[in-house]
Amino acid sequence: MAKLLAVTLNGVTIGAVYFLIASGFTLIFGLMRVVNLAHGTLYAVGAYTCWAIADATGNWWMGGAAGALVAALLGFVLERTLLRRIAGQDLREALVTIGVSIVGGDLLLAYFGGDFKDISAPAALSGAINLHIAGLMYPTLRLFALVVAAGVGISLWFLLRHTRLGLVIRAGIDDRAMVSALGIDVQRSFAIVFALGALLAGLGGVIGGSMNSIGPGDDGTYLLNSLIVVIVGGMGSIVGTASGAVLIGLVEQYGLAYASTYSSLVTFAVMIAVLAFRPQGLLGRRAPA
Amino acid sequence: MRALRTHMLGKLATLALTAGALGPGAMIPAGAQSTDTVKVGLLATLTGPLALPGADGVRGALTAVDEFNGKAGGKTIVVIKEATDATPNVARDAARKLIEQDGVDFIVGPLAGDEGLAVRDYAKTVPGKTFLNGAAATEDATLFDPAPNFFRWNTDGVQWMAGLGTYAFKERHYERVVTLGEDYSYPYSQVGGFTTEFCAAGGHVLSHLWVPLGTKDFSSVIAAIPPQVDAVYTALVGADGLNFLKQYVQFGGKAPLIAGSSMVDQSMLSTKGDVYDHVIGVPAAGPIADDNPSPLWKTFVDEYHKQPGALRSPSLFAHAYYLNMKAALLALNEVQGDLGNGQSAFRAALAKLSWQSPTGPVHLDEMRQAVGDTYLTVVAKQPDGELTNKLVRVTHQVNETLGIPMERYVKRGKLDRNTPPPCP
Amino acid sequence: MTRPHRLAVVAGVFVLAVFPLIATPFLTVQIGYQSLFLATTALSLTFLAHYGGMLSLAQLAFYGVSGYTFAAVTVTYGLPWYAGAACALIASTLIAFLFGLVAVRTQGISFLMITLAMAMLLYFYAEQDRVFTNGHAGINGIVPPGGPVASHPIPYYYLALAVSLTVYAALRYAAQTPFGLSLQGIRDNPQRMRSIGYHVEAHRVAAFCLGGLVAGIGGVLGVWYNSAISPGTIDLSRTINLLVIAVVGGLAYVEGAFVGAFFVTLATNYANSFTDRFNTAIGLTFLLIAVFSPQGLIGLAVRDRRAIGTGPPGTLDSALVEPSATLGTTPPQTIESR
Repeated sequence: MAKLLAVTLNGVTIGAVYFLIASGFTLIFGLMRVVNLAHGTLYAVGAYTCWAIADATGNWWMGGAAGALVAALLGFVLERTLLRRIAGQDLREALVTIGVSIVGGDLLLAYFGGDFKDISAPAALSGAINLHIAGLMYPTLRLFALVVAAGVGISLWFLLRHTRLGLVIRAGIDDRAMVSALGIDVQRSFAIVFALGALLAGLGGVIGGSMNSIGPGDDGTYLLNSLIVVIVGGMGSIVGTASGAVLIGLVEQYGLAYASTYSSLVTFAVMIAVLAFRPQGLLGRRAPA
Repeated sequence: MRALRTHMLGKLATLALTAGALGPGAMIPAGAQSTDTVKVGLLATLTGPLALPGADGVRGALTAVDEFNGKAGGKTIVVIKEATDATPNVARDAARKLIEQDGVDFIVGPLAGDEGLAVRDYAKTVPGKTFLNGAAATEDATLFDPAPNFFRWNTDGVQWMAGLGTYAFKERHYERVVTLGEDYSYPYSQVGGFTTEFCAAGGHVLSHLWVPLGTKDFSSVIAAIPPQVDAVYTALVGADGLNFLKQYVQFGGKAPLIAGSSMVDQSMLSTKGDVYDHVIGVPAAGPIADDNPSPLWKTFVDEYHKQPGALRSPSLFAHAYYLNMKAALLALNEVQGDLGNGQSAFRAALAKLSWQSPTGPVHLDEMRQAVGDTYLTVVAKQPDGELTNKLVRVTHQVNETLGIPMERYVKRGKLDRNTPPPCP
Repeated sequence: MTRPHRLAVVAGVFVLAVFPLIATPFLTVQIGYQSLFLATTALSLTFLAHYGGMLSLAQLAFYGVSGYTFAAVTVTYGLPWYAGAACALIASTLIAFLFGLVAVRTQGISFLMITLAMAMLLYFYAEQDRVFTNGHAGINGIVPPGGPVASHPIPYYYLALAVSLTVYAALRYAAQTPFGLSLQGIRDNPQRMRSIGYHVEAHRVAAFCLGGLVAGIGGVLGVWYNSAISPGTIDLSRTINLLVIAVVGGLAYVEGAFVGAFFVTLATNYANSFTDRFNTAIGLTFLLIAVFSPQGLIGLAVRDRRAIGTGPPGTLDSALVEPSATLGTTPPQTIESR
């Protein structure tokens, strides 16, 4: 019983991290129809930056802020310099982001080396909290991840519902051609949304990297993770992404706990099953035919 | 269209150039090149999850070359490095490139278990060349289906466990343990070696837990560890070991740890940050002990420190590459650089070589597998605050079957997820 | 095919035919044979992209299915090579059929993402199964029908050349059949084709199966060359690498597969002697081509003669898959339209 509870909590908290990363992915996709295959690279940039700054200053919080901001800046530059030139051609945009991920991964390897880095969380977030449920002690850092993800989720909801930018994004998701025709400059919002999506990837890198470590290959791992989460949850839907993230987190953790040698397969099996019955994902809109 | 045709013709010209410029050099057979050099191919994991151990392996190999002042058997040693990424297909490709394109005389490497199996199988297809292992420690490579031209001068992952199971049961009084390792050949060897001895000593291995290589989140694996265990035996490699340990600490894991050879090796203990403070007191076993008092070990450490980027103390990877490279150079001296006749004299010399290594006497058995000493160690903090593997005791001259007669030993078959089975 | 196009193809075939005469035996295998089996695999990608408008990242996985099946049948079960090859092609086609059933319901970038996820499913299966794929270590000791490829460079090279050219010709032929023509119609306007009574999904699945078969042929040739297969053969970076081959050669041309495979194989072999940042070089090439010359290296060569069309916003980019505006007569559908 305690094991089941612990594993469930593990699934929810890792799902929170997946949501952080994948929400950026789905936001960018929702407005811009860009499948950002460099999203994992932005995750790695966030994590490595956090490691470097925290190591130099001894301050994890400063490292975390720097990680998220550097990723956001990179996303902004990426949109302004490369994607803008070919805006609207979604396959070419996807190819460009693949190119960026190949180059980015190699440059990170060159700069940070082939070994993996341990990002030590600050004392306030290390250790465990007694949950007073079945005597369960639970790591503070994972609960912190859950709080951050909830905060991000609520902020995104607020942004989409109650700001002008959100209005444009929602309208853009529904019918971009119509929004443009109405004279609203969707293009202007693109750079902001891309930077915001990148910021979330970087933030995911800071927290994910602190829970584990950061090293070569993590960019690909978390890109795949985001991909599966949004495919399962529904492309472009924030609520769908949240459900997808928690579902994938839970499935993965039950897999690890009860059939650890086949855990990665179980995740993909869920994805195929969802696709077979709902091609648009759990909460996605009907996929364009 | 003219542009396209020009382009095609241009390509043809480039091709001819490439073939002319790079082809012949690549294809010179070993016997025809300048006679005063010996080319050595060095295979190491310089990218991917084991990049740090790979770099240290290279340092170990170069320590041996420098010890001989770059000469053996009257010839100058030329080392050609080729990077792998811990996957068998890349290791095989890199080995092929070294042999066929660079025309090396023999290869030292690779590092990872499954890479070793791939290179061993490739070795069978080029019987005129000689292969020395790097640090791959999968039992299979020399026990089942060995290649006549593949030599392993380091002891394997099973041998590295000698003494640990008995010590854990008799002196630490751990009676019930679970094992945790990644799902591939090297951890199979480590878990197999530990389980064989621990069960024979009277302990109980409740179950084997296997996780995919590259697992990030261990939280639910930790939750799956039965509460009644006295200790957890972990044989994880590289980033997986660090990720497990961090989360084990975060989750306030109670059961003490017992470590496989690469879990608390110097390549791990040198990680920046304080997470490894949590493994102080953890027993482990392997081919080296950082504070080995032997003068030969001290000389080796001093020589190793001359290599750029050297760790505080050589890792077991540096040690294993050193052993294999040095054995090759000793054998070259023995035959005075004679690599003719399909390298038969060189191989004969390698097979019957016996020498004093920094970690005690080594020689090969009839499967061309090293027999050597295994060191039981405990992680300790030195006065300067650095972590080290302190020597507890040495198990002398461990052979590939842990002293069990060969026929009986191989009866259990190849090591796997459930071979040997747990003993609950 | 236009006349200049045909001349270019003839010139290309000539280059391939004389390659072993100017290259050393080592290069014949290392560059020549390897390019040819990669090109065969990439042909399945360029065919699907060009005629079907489906940019699939699962082709290397089908290559892997075929390679693993050949390895398991010949090594694990000890059957002869032709049994292995037959089973390999059946398996890759069958898996392509199953995946196709799910994947063809999406288009454009969704299709790209889903095929990538499917490819990774097969990769993780290969890593974790110990019965059929033997886990991380994979299967070693595969023997091609006439002994190791490296020992008989010339015969194996011409065999691979014959196979890859036959596949190329067959795909060109398939594109001219009623099936191929309706496939192109579906690429350009699925709604219209559906409304005039075509079964859109069935055509797509059939094309995807054909792609699986072709990738499987590449897989058999590839596993002969490597004489071993392990999960690393079909991991993420190599999956992307096949896309790089297709894009560098030019998705606008089916035969771009040959140009791309040759370029990438040469670069992989020699670039790391010049620079440690070899992946950066490859990535930048890819990036520049994706931004400036979507028709790949072939596109660069013919650039001065043809204006590069850019598709209307949000399309399944016509610039990416068509060398000129002549093929697609109707404007491609925007992805948002339903």
